[in-house]
Parts: sequence; C-alpha cells; structure tokens
Amino acid sequence: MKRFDRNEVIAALSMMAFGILWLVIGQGYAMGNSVRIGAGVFPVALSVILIALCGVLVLQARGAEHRPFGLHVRPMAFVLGGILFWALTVDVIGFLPATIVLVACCALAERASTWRSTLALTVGLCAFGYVVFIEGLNIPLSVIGE
Amino acid sequence: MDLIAGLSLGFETALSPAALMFCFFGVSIGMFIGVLPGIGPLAAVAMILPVTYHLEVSSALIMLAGIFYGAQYGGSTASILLNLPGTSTTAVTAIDGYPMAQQGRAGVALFITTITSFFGGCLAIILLMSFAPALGAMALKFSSAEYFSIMLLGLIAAATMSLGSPIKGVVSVVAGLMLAMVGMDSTSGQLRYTFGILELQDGLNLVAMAMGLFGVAEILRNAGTPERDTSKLQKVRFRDLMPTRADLRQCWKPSLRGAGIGSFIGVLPGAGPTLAAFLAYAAEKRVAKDPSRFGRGAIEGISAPEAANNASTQAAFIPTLALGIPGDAAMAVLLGAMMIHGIQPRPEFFTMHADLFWGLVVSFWIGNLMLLVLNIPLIGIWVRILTVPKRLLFPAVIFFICVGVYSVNNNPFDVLMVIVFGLVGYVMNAFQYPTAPLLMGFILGPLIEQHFRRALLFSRGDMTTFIDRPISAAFLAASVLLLMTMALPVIKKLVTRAAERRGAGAD
Repeated sequence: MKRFDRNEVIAALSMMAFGILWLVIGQGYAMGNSVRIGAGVFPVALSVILIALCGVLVLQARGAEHRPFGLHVRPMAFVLGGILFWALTVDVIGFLPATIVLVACCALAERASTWRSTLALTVGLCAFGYVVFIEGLNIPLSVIGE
Repeated sequence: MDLIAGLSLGFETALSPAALMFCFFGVSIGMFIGVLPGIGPLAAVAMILPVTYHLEVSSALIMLAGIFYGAQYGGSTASILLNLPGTSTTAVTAIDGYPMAQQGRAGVALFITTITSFFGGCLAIILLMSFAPALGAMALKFSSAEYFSIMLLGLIAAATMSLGSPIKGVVSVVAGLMLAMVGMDSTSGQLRYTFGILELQDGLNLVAMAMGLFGVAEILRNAGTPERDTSKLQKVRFRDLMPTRADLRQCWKPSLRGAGIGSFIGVLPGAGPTLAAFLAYAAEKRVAKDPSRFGRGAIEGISAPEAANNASTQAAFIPTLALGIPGDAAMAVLLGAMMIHGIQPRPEFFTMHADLFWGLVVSFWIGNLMLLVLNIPLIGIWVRILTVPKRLLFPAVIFFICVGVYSVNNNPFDVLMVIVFGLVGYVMNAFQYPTAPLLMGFILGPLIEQHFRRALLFSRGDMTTFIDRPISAAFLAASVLLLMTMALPVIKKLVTRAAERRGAGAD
C-alpha cells in the first residue's frame, strides 16, 4: 500500500482552504442573470475549480516522492522581521532609523556578516537612499521622525 | 504605416539622448541583475518599476524592456563560470557551459553565448517588425468573445507549459485569478474580498506581489545558507574570448535553429524563454551526430539555447503589444507598467502609439548592440560582480524592495503585503507550485472577467457566442486540446491505480 505524502497533502489542503474561503465569501455577492453576470459568478466559479483541482492533487500525493520541507527559522525571522519593522515604523520614526534597523537585521541573517561590512553597507544604503529616493525622486518620507 | 517610415520614426524616438541614456541604464541594470545568481529579471523589473513612474512613458518602457533582455545576456555568465544559473532561463546553458569553463574555454563560451544571444535577438526583432502590426490589424476585428478565448488559451498555456506538474500550474493560475478579484469590481462597483481594509479597495498591489513572490521568496530560500564558492572563479581576459574557426562553423546552424524555436515559443502567449531554451537544447541533442558530447562541453549545447531564450524574449513582445496578452510573467509585469502609464496594449497600439512601438523596436536593436559592447570588452568587470557576497547583496536587495514598494502608493501597507507574498512564494517554491502563472493570472484576471461579461452582454446571455465566432472557437479548441494533453496521463494513472487496488482486493 502506497502512502500519502503528508507534506504534499498539507500543501494541497491549504490551497483548498483558500478556495473554500473565497467560495464562502463569494456566495454573498450578486449573481446577476445570464445577460448581466453578477460580481459573484467569477469568484465562485474559480473557487470551485480550485477546490476540485486541489482534490486531484491530494489524490496524486499518494505515493508521491517525499520532499523534505524545512524552514531556516533564524535567517527567515531576521529578514521578515526587518521588513515588518521597516513597514510599521518608517512613517513614525523616519527613513534613516528604520533603514538602519532593516539593513542590520538582514545582515544578521547571514552568519558571515561582520561588524565592519554591515556598518559600511548601512551607511552606503542610507546615503544612496537619501540622495536618490528622497532628494531625487521626492518620495515623501521624513528623514527622521518628528 | 510601412516599414521604412516606421523605422525612421523609431530612430527619431530611440536616438534621442534621453532614450539612449535610459536604454543604456536598462541594459546595464539587466546585465548586472542577470549576472547575480538568485535575482531574476522579474524582480529587477519590479524593483525599477517605481522609478519609472517619474519618467516619460517611452523612456520608461525602453528602460524596462532593456532590463528584461539584458538579464538574458547576464544570466549566462554565472551559469558558465560557476555552474549557478543567474536566471532560470539560462539553467540549460550551465549543462554544457560549465564543462567548457572547466576545460579552460570559459572565454570562448562567454563569447559564443553573447554572439548567439545577439543573433537570436536580431532575428526575433525582424519578426516583431514584420508581423506585430499585421497581427494588430487582424486583432482590430476581435470582440470581447475573442479576447476572452485568447486570454484563456494564454493562461492555460502558461500553466501547462511550465516545467513540473501541470495541475499545480493550473492551480497557480486559478489562485492568481482569484486574487485578482480583490478590490472594487469595475462593472458593478461592488467591493470584493476587501475584509474591510481600506487599502484593499484598489486591489492587491502588483509590485508588492511580484517583489514578494520573486524577490523576497528567493532571498528567504537562500538566506543563511553558506556563501557561494567563488574560489574556483577563473580570470577571463579579452584574448581568451576568441573562438576558433571550427567553433564558429559548429555553432551557426544550432544558433539558427535555436533562434527559430525561440521566436516561435515567444510568440505563443503564455510560453516563456525558459521553455524555449529547454526545447532548443533538446532539439540539438536529437539532431546531433554524436549526442554523447552533450553535457561535456558541446558548443551546440550553449549556442542553441542562448539564441532561443533571447529570441523568445524579443518575440514575446508580439502578443504583449498586439493583443495585451503577456508571453510570460516578466512580460506581465511590463504590461502592468504600461497600464500604470495609461497605455492599454491592444491592436490600436500600433497606430495610436506608432512612435512608441517603433521607438521600442529600434531601442531593442540599440540595446542589443550595447550589450554586445558591454559584454565582450568588459567581461572582466562582470566576472568580478559574481564575487559580491550574499551578506552585502541580500540586505541591499531587501532595502530596495522596501523603498520601491513603498513609493508606488507612498503606503507602508503594501510593504506588509510583500511579507505575505514572500512567505507564500517561499512555500509554493518548496512544493513546486510554479509562482509565475500566479502572477499571469493576477494580471489577466480583471481583463478576462470583463471581456467574459461584456461578451455575454452583447450576445444577450447566449453562451454560444464563444463558439459561433470562428477565431474564438479556434482559440477555445486549442485550450481544450492543451487541457486534454495535460489531463490524460493523470486520469490514466488514477484509473490504473484504482484497477490495481480492485485487483489487490480480489486476491
């Protein structure tokens, strides 16, 4: 008896969950008639197709080759945490401080980073960002928060 | 407009100092990004997109297109020297390019890939000049029914012709279409899937999505892994580049075949340069007198795919410009860029924006020429770029992604979406769900829905409008055929399995 590959099944089921969510919400939109198709028809039809296809993928996961799935937790947390911090704080504390934290965070994700290389990179990117994006392209970011 | 008048108009546009400068910027950035392993042209185009909002539309398009084909040139450098494809389109080049480098013929391999890329590009540009306006003229007669069918064909092609499981490809496309439904419905004004979030009323942000799926996801995969081993990197000097006469004789026919395959694949909506390169390689292996040389440094093994991927990149502009249907995901981003600039690619494009079209075509030539010059004498510089360590590269890329996405709407919400799509892309990559079809679906989603509804409105709700019209019927038939070829092996497998089980139960 061939076994279902657990990871593949989980992947297909999560995709299916997305389909079910869209289907449930889509029920609430106007369906219209055959001449004037309503706003709900396309999303509902697509969700049904997605759910059906994910069903096929679940069946196919039987005897599928096992793909190990591991997360590099530490580097991923640093990279995503850096972006999250930047997005949440850039309008509050300003471009320079947010960018310094972002670059430092991303550098920490790499074990080979050294203090000197990270410092040089941070200074370089801050200067470049200030000249090109804030002065050059007039992106409305304050340099340091008020 | 005839060819001569078109070309003269094109030279006028493309030879202006601003256009030349942005063309140069574009191809250099593309080359640079292409050389760096892990960041593809798609992420590059998406990263530069915000900068182009401030430019005039012709300069913006010339630069974005330059990034796109420049990356095809650059990608082969990392493939040959380090056996690490800079972009997925040049993965095939590594098969024979790296052995050539090990035999001390890296210079020759680089020279050949540059020349054949140039050749493939030129052939496809000629095709573009001769056929795109004609196709556009034909498409003037298209109604919503035809548009719906051809987009459907494009989406199915994108899903099934990517490498890997075709069902996962279709799942990606459908998921992309579903994400496109977020925001205000353009026909009825109804808000869909906004979850009460104000920022979602205009729909998900294309740039945030592309950056997450193709930039952040790629960095997440490589973050924390050991640095690339560049100690074996050879020095390539100018005089190492010269191929022998035998090399050239050996590679001109494969280049021609590769360029032909590439142009054909490029014209098909939904099939991109990666597929073109793989097919060209497979074809060369089949026609070769001694196939066992492949994988051990056969010069045909690098010339055919390189001609093919560059030809397909240029030819992909034909459906993109004439019909508004992108050849692959990078074209889809370019299409998004055109829409942001208020240009709807459609048949009228060639007459209404004649200067833009011909300017773009001529800029392709100029850009390819620039790449030739950038590549051959300056090869040493590009090789040195390969040694930039990840610890400097990755933080810089993340920084550009953050600022770039922020600047689209001056809104940090979009940056948060990058995190979401970065994770989605990472998981999809891990389970080999292709992410490029997702983006295709997302970009074509609103259009395909609109045309479907409009077609039914015109036909008073009669679904047969899609098969009554011959052109639409042909596209639909092609879509069904593609789906069948995908579904048959799967059904067969499931049926035999069921039969086996029944057989086992009877014992």
